[in-house]
Amino acid sequence: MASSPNSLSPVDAADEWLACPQCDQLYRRVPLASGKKAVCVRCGAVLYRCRKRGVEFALALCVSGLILFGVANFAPLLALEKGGLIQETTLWSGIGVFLVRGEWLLALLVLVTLILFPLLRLAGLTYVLYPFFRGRATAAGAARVFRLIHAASPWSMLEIFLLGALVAVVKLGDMATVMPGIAAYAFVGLILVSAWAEYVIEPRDIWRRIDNHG
Amino acid sequence: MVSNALTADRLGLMACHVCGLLCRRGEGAARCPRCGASIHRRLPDSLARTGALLIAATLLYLPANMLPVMSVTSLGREQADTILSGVVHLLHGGMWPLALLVFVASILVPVLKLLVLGYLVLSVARRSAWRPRDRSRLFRLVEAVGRWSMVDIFVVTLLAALVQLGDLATIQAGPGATAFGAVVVLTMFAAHTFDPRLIWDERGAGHDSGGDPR
Ligand SMILES: [Zn+2]
Ligand SMILES: [Zn+2]
Repeated sequence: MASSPNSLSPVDAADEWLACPQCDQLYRRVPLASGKKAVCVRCGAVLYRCRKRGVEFALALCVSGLILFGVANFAPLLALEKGGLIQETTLWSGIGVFLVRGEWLLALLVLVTLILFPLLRLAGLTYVLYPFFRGRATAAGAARVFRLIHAASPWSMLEIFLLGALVAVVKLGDMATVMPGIAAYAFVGLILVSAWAEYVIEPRDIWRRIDNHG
Repeated sequence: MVSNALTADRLGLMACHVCGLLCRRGEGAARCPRCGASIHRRLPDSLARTGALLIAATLLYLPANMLPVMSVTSLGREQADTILSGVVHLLHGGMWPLALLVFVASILVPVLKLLVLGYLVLSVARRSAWRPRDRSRLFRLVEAVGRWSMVDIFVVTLLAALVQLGDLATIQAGPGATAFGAVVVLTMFAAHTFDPRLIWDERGAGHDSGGDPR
């Protein structure tokens, strides 16, 4: 217990070796054909995948995601019509309703899972990928940003929100008329773009690039 | 098979939980030289932390199911729904695909998650050698599926934000929604703190509390 933090050193040629994150089995990295993935023979976990799409493609997805995010947040999401009354909702007005009623935990949950973490993911990926695209050295603090993205990604819940919106609209069906707003379409686009970006980006490749440049 | 496996741990190595970098095992607390995350042989106090989070989630599961998640006030008449009575309403309305969806996401998945994680913690604590590959699979399943329980929270969010038509119709989130949201968050944390490598560690290797480096 006497040694100080930061005393660790990576193994030699650390890029060539990896341990299964779920069972600790050691592997030597082998090159894969495009679109294939390496799976642990012992526990069945996915070890890494080969993605041949370049950085520019992933970056384009992230930037379009950011634009769609802006629209999805501030344009009207759904409009409700009943007996001549029309009520429009944005994502933020939903949070406002919770705050007014003192349901701060629900407000926080919606804020974090639908706004903060999805934004952090898109903006963070753009920040990390852009210097690679321009052929420059790694962005300052790229490792910290990418670590944050890793921690935040299970808490980004746009696709679950979409399912919830479908359920809500069906539930309201017999009570009032619901019309989707611009933000609803932006949301669908945002979810598709985010899922695509997730598919295209292999975190282990990004980590290796961060390491080699930094 | 379990005892013959070549693991990182056997060679005195540790893989970073975040970026996967293989490091030589040092003493005491240490940080990953690549991403800066704190690095451990196994997640610290994994079983104790997961167990505590599971107990808290189980306790909150009761109010989450017994208190109303949502109340509808329409023309002076108020109707409060719990998760279960909401499912029953959908069934009576003939919307059985939706009823099934809400039942699976809000009732089945949280219960399964509590049971599976509880079983995994017990099996590791008892150093069971029973079908580790299947237990690994179970873990990956609950980890992947757990966040979808949040769908009901988003349904309530949208309905409460949309239906604000004064005397005509108003929908409010109930205390059950907060409790249910907390259950989902706690079980997600419980999955994050559980280290699946413990399932594969050699029996009698002294890993019962997640382990300090020896
Ligand atoms: Zn494995
Ligand atoms: Zn690391």
